[in-house]
Amino acid sequence: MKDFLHHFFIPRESNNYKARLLHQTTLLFFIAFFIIGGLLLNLTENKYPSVLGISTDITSEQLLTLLNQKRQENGLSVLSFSPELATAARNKANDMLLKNYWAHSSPDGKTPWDFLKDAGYNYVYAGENLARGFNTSEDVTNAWMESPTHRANVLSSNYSDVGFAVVVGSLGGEETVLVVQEFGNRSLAALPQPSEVSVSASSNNSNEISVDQKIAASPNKSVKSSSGIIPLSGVKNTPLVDSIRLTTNIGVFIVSLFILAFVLEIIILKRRRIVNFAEHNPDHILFLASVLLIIIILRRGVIM
Amino acid sequence: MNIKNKNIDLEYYISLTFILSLGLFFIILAAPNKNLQLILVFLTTFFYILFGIVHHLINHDFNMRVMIQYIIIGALGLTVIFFFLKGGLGF
Repeated sequence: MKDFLHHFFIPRESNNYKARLLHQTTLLFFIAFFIIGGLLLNLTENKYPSVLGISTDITSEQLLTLLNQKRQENGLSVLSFSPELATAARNKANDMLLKNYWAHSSPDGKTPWDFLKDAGYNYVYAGENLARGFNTSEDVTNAWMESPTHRANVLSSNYSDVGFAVVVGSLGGEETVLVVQEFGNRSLAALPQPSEVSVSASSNNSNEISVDQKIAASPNKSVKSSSGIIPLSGVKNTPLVDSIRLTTNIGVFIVSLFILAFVLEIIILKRRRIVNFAEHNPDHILFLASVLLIIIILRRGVIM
Repeated sequence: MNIKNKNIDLEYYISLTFILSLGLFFIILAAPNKNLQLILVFLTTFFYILFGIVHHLINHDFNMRVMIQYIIIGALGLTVIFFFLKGGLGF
């Protein structure tokens, strides 16, 4: 076993001073492994979603708790859950999926404030935060808190109410979880400048995505609160195996093995003063390190 | 390896680091458009292979085996990302 591992990772006479892992046939084997593996996992995900899939746990209940927790930590009053704002948020999320856009304003010019008015919420101050591609309520809240403009909305003293929508749908060909957070205040007395309308500090950069669309409405339910019936939305999916974690772990492990083998080759061949391609191994190390970073970038959620 | 070659290598590695960083920067900027991100991943890989070949041509040690090695490593990187997108994100 030890001899096999040495043969596999360490350049020596038995492998012609090139780790077996870095031989072209081994590399081709891993290329085939990743192609076939990716297709098989995708097939399994589609056929057996309870076994393999993206693990997601985002609910408006959790989002409200986390939001108020952050506000209290910063000495601010808690926000009340508004059914009208929740309706506005849900309509906004559905509109994004129907018209296939990811922006504060729709391609036909509909602003977040129009959704608030349509839902019967006459605001004095209002704001909107958006998120997509996150897997937990904590991740969404943390991402908003890390962005100065979104954080400003979360920690604004101008708002008294909040509403959320968590909707699953296909945007740009990608199945994703959209989270819409609408803030508002309709009380004139509580505000220093009642005539002003505070908009979300985020920009309205429209990202046009042109692929077919479908909407899978999130399971909505209602609960009784002190203020009456409030609609709750959320996405909770806990398959046996989380596909993102599985593919990330396998990908990162194998790419790291290759990086390690290239580094070992440089060190060992330099020590033994053997000239071969190892002097260009830094290229491959840099590229494979970039691949690891790309995986990290691709699995991140996006806020707006 | 002489001093001249070492300087060429240093310039090359700086250029390659710059190109890869630029690729990563644009991939971040393209989020959440996965199609565009995928195109940028292909472009970054293409420039990695191209720069590798150019580097070896400048060093006068280019041969078929070198080119194949760059192409295979590039393909390995692309398939790892394909594996993650298709198997992980269901893209």
